[in-house]
Amino acid sequence: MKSTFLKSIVFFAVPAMLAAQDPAPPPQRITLPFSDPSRPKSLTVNIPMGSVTVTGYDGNDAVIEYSGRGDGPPRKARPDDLPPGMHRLDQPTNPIEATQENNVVRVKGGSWDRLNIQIKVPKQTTLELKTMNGSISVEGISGEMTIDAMNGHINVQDASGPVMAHSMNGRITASLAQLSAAKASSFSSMNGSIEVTLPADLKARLKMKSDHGEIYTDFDVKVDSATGPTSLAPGGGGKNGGGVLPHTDRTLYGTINGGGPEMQFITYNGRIVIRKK
Amino acid sequence: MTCDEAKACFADDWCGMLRTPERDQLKRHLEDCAACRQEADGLESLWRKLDSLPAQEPPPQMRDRFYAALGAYGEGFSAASTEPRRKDNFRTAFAWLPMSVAAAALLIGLGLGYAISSQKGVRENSEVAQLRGEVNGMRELVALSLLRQQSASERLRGVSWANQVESSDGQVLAALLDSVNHDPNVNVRLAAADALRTFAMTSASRMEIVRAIIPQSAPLVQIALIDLVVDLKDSASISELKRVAGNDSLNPSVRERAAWAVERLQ
Repeated sequence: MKSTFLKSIVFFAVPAMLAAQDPAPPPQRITLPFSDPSRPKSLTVNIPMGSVTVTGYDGNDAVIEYSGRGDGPPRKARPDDLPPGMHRLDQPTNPIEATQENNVVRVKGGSWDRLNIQIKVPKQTTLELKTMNGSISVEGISGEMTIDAMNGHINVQDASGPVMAHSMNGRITASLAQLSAAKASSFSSMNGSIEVTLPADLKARLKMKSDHGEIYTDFDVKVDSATGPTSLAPGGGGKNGGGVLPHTDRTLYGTINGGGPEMQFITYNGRIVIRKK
Repeated sequence: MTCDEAKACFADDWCGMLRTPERDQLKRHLEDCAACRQEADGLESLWRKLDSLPAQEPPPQMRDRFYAALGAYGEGFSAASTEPRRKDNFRTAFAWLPMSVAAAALLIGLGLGYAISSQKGVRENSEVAQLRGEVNGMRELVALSLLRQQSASERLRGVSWANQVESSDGQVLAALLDSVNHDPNVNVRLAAADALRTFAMTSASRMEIVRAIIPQSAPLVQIALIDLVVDLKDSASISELKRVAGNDSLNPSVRERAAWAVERLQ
């Protein structure tokens, strides 16, 4: 009876003690105003571990909310370093570093922290977002978006600025508005698929290549008969008098609605889906 | 001298450009007015420090780029001005043609329509050649200028423009190689690698392409470059491709592709 009682104490108390030692930290918030709201603004985020969500809004400041564990640099102290009769006081760690200078907001995370960062910025902000291990989501931005998620997914919604997205191992999904189509956009992934939704009346020139996957679309794509940029040069062939080059790669060039700015879709192992909105 | 007048004289005084009566007036004012004296001291020390700043030297590439852009523009014009001159000679040499054809038309009416259309054709050809030269020069200029923009999307547009340049004296090739090796954006590097396909006509440029493979950070660009080397059918690249295939630090897909490329080129 006594041992059962002890066991039940251990059973309930140990998780409770562990939970007490390791509470989920509440979300923190930093608000950084851009120094000159009338000039172009940009946001640069570089987070080795953790996910980033950026949303465009009608305000003037960059509002950064983050949660997650900021473990700080690995400590040398071991439990047996604890002097007899003492207990350790936890030192505060700040898992992110956020600064604003000359209308550029920079957010950096340490390589030992697993973070979840949500940032609100004015819609027309230029974004440069980079993660090693974590996904990146962007919504409602009209500035240029340069996104690089090494091992995470990229999701861009309601974009009205040009998108330059690359992921090594993640999937890329994007939905563009008409406005962003006036500039060149590009999506590339080594091992992930690319799914992009475009306005039905978008005029664009498409360059698509999937080495080990298929390309699907519900657009009426007018595919160039000869592949490659050589077909653009009158007379074809090399620019300096060479003959027509045979192509080993599977790049497909084509236009939708008569052609327009170039949109590039490249994946090695994934598939490409280009949808009408 | 009032405070405002004194402040207007500060810079002239430091440069030694103030005349004696004014300098004396300023000196007297500064002795009387503590606020101006403090401001003058603060500004003067800043002024002296500015002298000690090293002069900013323009980067060495700037001159090259300027002459590249100028060259591209000039090429457009020279192509435009030489071709029509040749056509003009051609036209004078055959100036008698319309008249004799017109005479012949009295005998055979059918010839007239043909004569008019052929003369019109010569003029149109020279105009088209002139326009094409100008357009090519402009495309090259636009491509080179866009490739240096800060915005990755604009640089991607620069690569698209480079694709439309028909002939180049090597400036576009150099700019594209520079993009493949140094552009921070993977998407721009990928597009530039594809665009190189039609410019890499010399063995030196093909060697530069194959050497760009190993230093690349993105496997996708490495694969695009390997495909390009295979398309260019340059057997001199085989030894470098073997090094790629045997390099343990590279992505397995890249090494596989390089091994496949070696087989294709042998």
